[in-house]
Amino acid sequence: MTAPTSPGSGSAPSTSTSPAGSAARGLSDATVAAWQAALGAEHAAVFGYGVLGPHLSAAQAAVARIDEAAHRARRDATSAAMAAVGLDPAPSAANYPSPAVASAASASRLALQLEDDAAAAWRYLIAVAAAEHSDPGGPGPAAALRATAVTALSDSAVRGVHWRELLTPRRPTEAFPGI
Amino acid sequence: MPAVSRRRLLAVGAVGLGAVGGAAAGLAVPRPRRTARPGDVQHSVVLEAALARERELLARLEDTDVAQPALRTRVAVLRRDHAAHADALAGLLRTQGLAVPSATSVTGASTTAAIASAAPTPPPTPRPYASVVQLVADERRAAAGARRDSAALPAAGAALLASICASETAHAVWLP
Repeated sequence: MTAPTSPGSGSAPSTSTSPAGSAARGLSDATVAAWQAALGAEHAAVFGYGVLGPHLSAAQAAVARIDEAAHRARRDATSAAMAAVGLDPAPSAANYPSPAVASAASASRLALQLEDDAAAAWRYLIAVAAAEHSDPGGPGPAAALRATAVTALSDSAVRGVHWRELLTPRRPTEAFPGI
Repeated sequence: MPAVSRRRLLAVGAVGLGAVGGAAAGLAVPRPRRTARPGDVQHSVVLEAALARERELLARLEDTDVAQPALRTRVAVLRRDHAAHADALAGLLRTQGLAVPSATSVTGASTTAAIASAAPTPPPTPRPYASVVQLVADERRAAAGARRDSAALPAAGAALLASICASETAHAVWLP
């Protein structure tokens, strides 16, 4: 699998584009599309971690399993949240490109790429939701969605630290995750 | 920070009144490129407070770097990221046509306090160097502040502060 390079490109969003429908949910169409893209990135991460696991040492594979479970939980929670507001959550893609994983190092690189892609997707959602909806920080679905997205972005940044320490130990953290 | 905020409030108010007065009189006065809105003031205060927080962290890390050579490698990682955060916040203020407070005119005051109070800036308190445990606590506090600020800002500011929050959350996990 080649990890997606743009936010959420791992699966095709099935966004409802009816302006009236989105307005009824209190979210703009652009925000809904960005949310679907973030869900797509989580689908891709679940798939990717499943592929890279066998190439890792036992200790690293254990970390990968924890990370995969976290993405699975995030994916399921995102799907449920979408369904709760009447959206149709995008399903996992039928096919993902075959990842070029042949060693522990390439598996670690893929894991880091998955985390960076997920971080980018969630950060993009924050930017879109903040641009599309006034009254930042106020009550409403956009504010709640932004809060969730910040948590998801932070979680990916934290998971990325482990893989960065393996790959670039002198730069284990990023100043701007998701950017 | 509070003094800066008050100056900005007065300056923005003057610009707004001037624009309104000119329009009402039907005068062909040059219009400002961008009319300041009430929210702009609060956004600038939030960004300034975030910048102050990053500068405070950097100052504490500098002290720690000198006092605790054993932590130098970790401190260098943190300093690099926090310097980038401060640069980005200053850049965002500039792109919005706002003045960037000098490093000595801001303190680590909370955003809420900065908005609510116009009291003179208190004298700086000595910064003790930090242990790893204290650095972790600093990063967690900073991440919480960035999260709060992200929720209060629109668009670019929200995304930047969210990313800074993520970075500082990762610092807190990586440090121990």
